[in-house]
Amino acid sequence: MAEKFLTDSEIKRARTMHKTKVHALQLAVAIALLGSWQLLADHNILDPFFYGRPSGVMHQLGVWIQHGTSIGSIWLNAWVTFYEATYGFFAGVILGIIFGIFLARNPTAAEIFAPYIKVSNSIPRVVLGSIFVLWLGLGSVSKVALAFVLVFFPVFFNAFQGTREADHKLIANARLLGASKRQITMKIIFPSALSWITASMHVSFGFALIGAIVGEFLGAQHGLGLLIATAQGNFNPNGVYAAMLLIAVMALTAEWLITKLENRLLNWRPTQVSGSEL
Amino acid sequence: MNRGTPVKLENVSKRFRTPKKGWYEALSGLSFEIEAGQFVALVGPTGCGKSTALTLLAGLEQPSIGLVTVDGEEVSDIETSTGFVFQHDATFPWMNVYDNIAAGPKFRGAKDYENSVSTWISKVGLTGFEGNYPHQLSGGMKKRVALAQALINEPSLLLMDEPFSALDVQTRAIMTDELVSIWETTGSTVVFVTHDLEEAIALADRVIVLTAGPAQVKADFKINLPRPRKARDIRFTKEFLEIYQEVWSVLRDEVDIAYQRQLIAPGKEK
Repeated sequence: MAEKFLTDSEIKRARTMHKTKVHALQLAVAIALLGSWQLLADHNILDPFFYGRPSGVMHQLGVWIQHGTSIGSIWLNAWVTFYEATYGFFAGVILGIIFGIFLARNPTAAEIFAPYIKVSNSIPRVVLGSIFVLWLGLGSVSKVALAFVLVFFPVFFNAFQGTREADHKLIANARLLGASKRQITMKIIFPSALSWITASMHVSFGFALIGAIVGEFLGAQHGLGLLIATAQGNFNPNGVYAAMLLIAVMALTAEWLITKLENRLLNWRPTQVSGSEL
Repeated sequence: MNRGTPVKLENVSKRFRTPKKGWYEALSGLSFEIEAGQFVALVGPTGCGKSTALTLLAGLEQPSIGLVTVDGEEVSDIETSTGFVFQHDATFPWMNVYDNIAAGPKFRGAKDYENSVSTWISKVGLTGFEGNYPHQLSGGMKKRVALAQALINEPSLLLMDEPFSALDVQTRAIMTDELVSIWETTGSTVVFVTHDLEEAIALADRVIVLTAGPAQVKADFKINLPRPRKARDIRFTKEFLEIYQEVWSVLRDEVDIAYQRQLIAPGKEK
């Protein structure tokens, strides 16, 4: 039986110990996985010609950074993919929010457009990539367009649903307090739909990257997607993994930024209280 | 101090679609009239349509048949000269206390509202909590925010839909007291819906008892208890108990009827 409350420094120490333990185990998992891959490849159990190996991936990255790739500097290619995804992401998020809220606020318009939205949503959107390359050429615009359509729909549906689920009592209250339709949209609907919208943004950046990379597969002059396609053509699995690694870094950075943004925008929400003292 | 407005319901009926495509008649030919500046409590059994009457007065819904007038004019849309305090929390969760209370003046495009916001914050005893969000407040404090939010617009008609029903008994008694003392300085007309007869008599100038739904006026009592009142103490006086017994004897039959119906058709009400 404890006779005193834990002191702050005791709690802090226990918390640090817990964290260190988790980090150490996470590292151990990574070493075990990568180590066994390396070992299996070194002993030719996994054929390195097809499966590559971690040391080869690092070597490939080193070569790209020092000498550039066959299609220009690695930073240029990463940058191209990044801005294609980012442009598509922002365009999709902004238009998705606007259309989602607009249609949810105007039931007649929603009724009119419902079948069209259902049909366009049912088209496998990656197929559109080919059309965009035909229409918009091999440059970045076709990739931005593909990223945009991939991002638009999830954000649109979430914004629509979030608006529909906005508390009617709050809307009634705002109207009685004198809010105009526009003020209700901006001050009541938007904040209440925001947790739905940010939830869709988490998935959407991934979609934007998929759009950019698939677009580059289909035909491009620069970008990590093209780099992957080239490596694949040259039977260079290490090149594929190295590009994948860069894409993962990009996705994680974006995820981190979106989480930051979310916490800022939704700071009025109750924080989750953890059960234990730690 | 503003002038309250007179309010009138003339032969008002209201029906709603039920999920099973039938009709539910919440009000059927309800009529009553309230003088300017009067504090009226509407009491009646569960599901009798008290709250519906309030939403009609606020203009949140239109009557299916009949006429609702406020200050002699037909209510056809939301009346922004009307204040409404909801049964459940309707403060905006993404605004702190200050912004919640300032919401009305901001929506109305008022300038220089800072002083009146601070005045109302201190009137409802929330000084020091300006920066808190609703989820950081207790139930009673949220009610204070809702009250200040409605009253800062100086409504000539204040509608309250069982505003204190979600509070614990002690907080409720305190809030009742505070409402009386705040209202006595404003002079607006108040329609206060409640289940609680004690609360109704302690607050109101007049208690209207409604029948089991669809509501009709069953009885109308003038409450001649002296003002200013101390709602918490007045309930133990002899006069209070006499009125209470008189009103309860009328209300009891309706409560029984409503309860019997619930037993026969459970869940029909909502």
